[in-house]
Amino acid sequence: MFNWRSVFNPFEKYSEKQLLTVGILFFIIGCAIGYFYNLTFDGAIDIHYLKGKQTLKNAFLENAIIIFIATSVLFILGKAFNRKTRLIDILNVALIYRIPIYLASLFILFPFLQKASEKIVNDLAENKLKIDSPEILLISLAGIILVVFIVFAIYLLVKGFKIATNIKKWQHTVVLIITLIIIEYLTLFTIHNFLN
Amino acid sequence: MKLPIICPSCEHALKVSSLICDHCNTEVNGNYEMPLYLKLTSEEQQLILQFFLASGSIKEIAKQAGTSYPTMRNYMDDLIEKINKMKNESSSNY
Repeated sequence: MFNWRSVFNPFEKYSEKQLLTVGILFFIIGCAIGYFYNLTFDGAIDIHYLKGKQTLKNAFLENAIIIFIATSVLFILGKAFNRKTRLIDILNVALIYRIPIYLASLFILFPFLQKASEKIVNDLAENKLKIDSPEILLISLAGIILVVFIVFAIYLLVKGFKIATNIKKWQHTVVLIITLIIIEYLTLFTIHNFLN
Repeated sequence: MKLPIICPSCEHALKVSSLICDHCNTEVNGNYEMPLYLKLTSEEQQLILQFFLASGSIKEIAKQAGTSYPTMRNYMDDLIEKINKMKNESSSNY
């Protein structure tokens, strides 16, 4: 049965098989979004429009690289914190945390947001951009919503990692946050240097 | 009836001071340490029993409790830590 706890902490309740199934399903959806809407997921928490055409191979590889790097780095850290940490739990964390990012990518595809964005770019080029224009307001609002999605993704990652490793000390959480920054740079570096 | 294990007044662990025979009403008085298992909460005792009945399968009791495997394993690990702490405390008291 649906409850908000399953949304905010799915790792507490659902079995590894259920999480893996949902994670793989959203992985496929994420690849499809990237391919059909010319988006690039070029970092652990990044979504960007692509100037050229996104290929199916790259859409798949980008997401696969992110999940592979996140799983590998977090698994090593998890093992260092708690030797009972299982690979499947970390893999599920790496798959599930990306769901809000895929949803956020759908959000930025709304036509009225794209129109507003185009108008801002045009106004800026013609030097007639007003700071209180409805487009600026709309884009700012969309930016806030996007940040909420990204924060929720990080929240899911931290929550899932804490359950997978049973860490409780604040020092562990600090190390985890630093590791997330490392993962972000590692994924950005790998995708930009070996893929695009 | 639930066995009280914590003093309702000062919240320290309770001890056994009296035991009675239901058959002949003989009463034994003393100051006995409560067995470690009985010092745990009824939920913790229930979990240990469930774990035993599930042939030591965390996966099985996690399924029964409707939680994920790592959640149950973490709960068990915390319980093991609590029991070890209680064991150390009781051995250092002697």
